[in-house]
Amino acid sequence: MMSDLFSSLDCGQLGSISFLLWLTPIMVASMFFVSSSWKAQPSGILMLLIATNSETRAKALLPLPLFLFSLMFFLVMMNLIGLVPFVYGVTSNLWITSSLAVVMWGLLILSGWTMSPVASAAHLAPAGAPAALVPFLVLVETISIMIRPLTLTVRLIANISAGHIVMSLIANCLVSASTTALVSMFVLNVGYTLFEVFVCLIQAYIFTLLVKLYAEEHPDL
Amino acid sequence: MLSAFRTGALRSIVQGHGTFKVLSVVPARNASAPSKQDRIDTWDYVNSVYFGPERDMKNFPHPTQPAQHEPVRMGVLPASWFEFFYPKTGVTGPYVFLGGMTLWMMSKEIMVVDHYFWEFPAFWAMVYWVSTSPKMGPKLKQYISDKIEMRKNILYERPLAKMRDAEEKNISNLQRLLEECETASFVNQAKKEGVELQLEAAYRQRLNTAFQEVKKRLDYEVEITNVKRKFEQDHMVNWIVSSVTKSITPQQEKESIQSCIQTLKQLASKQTAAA
Repeated sequence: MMSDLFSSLDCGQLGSISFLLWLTPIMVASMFFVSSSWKAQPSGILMLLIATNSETRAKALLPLPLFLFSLMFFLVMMNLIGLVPFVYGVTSNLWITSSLAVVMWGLLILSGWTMSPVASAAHLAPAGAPAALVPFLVLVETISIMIRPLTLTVRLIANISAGHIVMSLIANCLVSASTTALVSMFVLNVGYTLFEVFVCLIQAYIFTLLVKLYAEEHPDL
Repeated sequence: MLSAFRTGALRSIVQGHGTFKVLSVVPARNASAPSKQDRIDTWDYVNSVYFGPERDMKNFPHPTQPAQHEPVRMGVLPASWFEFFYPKTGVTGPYVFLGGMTLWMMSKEIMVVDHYFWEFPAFWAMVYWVSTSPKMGPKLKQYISDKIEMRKNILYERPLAKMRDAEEKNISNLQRLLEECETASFVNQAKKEGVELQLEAAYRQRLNTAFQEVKKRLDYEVEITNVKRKFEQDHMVNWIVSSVTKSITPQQEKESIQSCIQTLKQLASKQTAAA
């Protein structure tokens, strides 16, 4: 049995099947340079998911849509690779996800405040707010900005690792299930795995979308 | 994904014949920034080597990526893997191999039925279901394919077609301009001929006028001469007649009348005698 609920997120879970540790990444990576058909290119599919006609283009952050595309590509691939059985999902790792979130958020904050401190500070107080409320609003706005990397991190980790935990729990029960229960629970696990595929895509999209939204608060160039 | 291994692309990469084979050694860039011409030269040189006659295109053709993946069975396994087994083992061979391999791995504890084991069948069943279910896989594939086509159309084909149309229009305009330039010489010639015709017409008209004027004057002269002669003739006739009339005396008149009467009488007597 599992030592604890979150042991499915341990890197060292694989034990005797460690050959999958190197075999699966090679197989997944081979998809990129020896993909058997261009219609099945992951990049082609992902192009559909991310909107490149962002408002940020108007703000002369020209490479940003392309960068967001790369970011979403990375996240989707990491999520899906993590979904493959016996493979550790790196996006459920606190350090990797928080590194991504802090870097994305921090770069935008740093860029905005360095370039135009006044405009950035003006963003903290909504226009037309009563003067008495302004200190409070600035405080609220500051907190909401400061917790953004945390929410980005936790959202991604929680969604990915929750799915992994549930799948592990079902698989765990399947080992000792009776034949009748096995069929129904196996179907449940199949359905949940399919659901997790959508979660992987959607979470990557949400992460990217939020970075895009944060970029749209960037002061005008 | 797995079918990629059958294409031989991976093998050729491992053996050093594929995409990553060293085809030529290009001189490293200078410390100073290379000029545009340097880059073009390098590009041309690399192309000339890469696509040159030295290249063995028969044994090592350009790797191409087909639009559709090769046929698969059970969702992801290439059909050619199964066909590889058929001549040697019959149709059950692949399944026996797969089952035997699994049993062997389980007996040697390479694959262990631990509490993660069922994730693998569930994952494979999900992939199999998605890729073979007629309600999901083909529809999803069609949807994605349509979207990619649409995007390709918007990003690539439509602008190209637009540019091509514009250029064709431009070319036809230029063609027309060229034709107009060529016809300009003919227009000049035609205008020149028109002017010459007008000059000729004016000349002939003037010639005609001169002819008419001369004729008028000559007619006048002729008329004067005729009138003069007629007048003289009339005058002469009148003069002769009056002179003759004046010269006849009453005696001569009487004698003439008498002789006429005499003649008439003779004629009358001859007539009565004949009757």
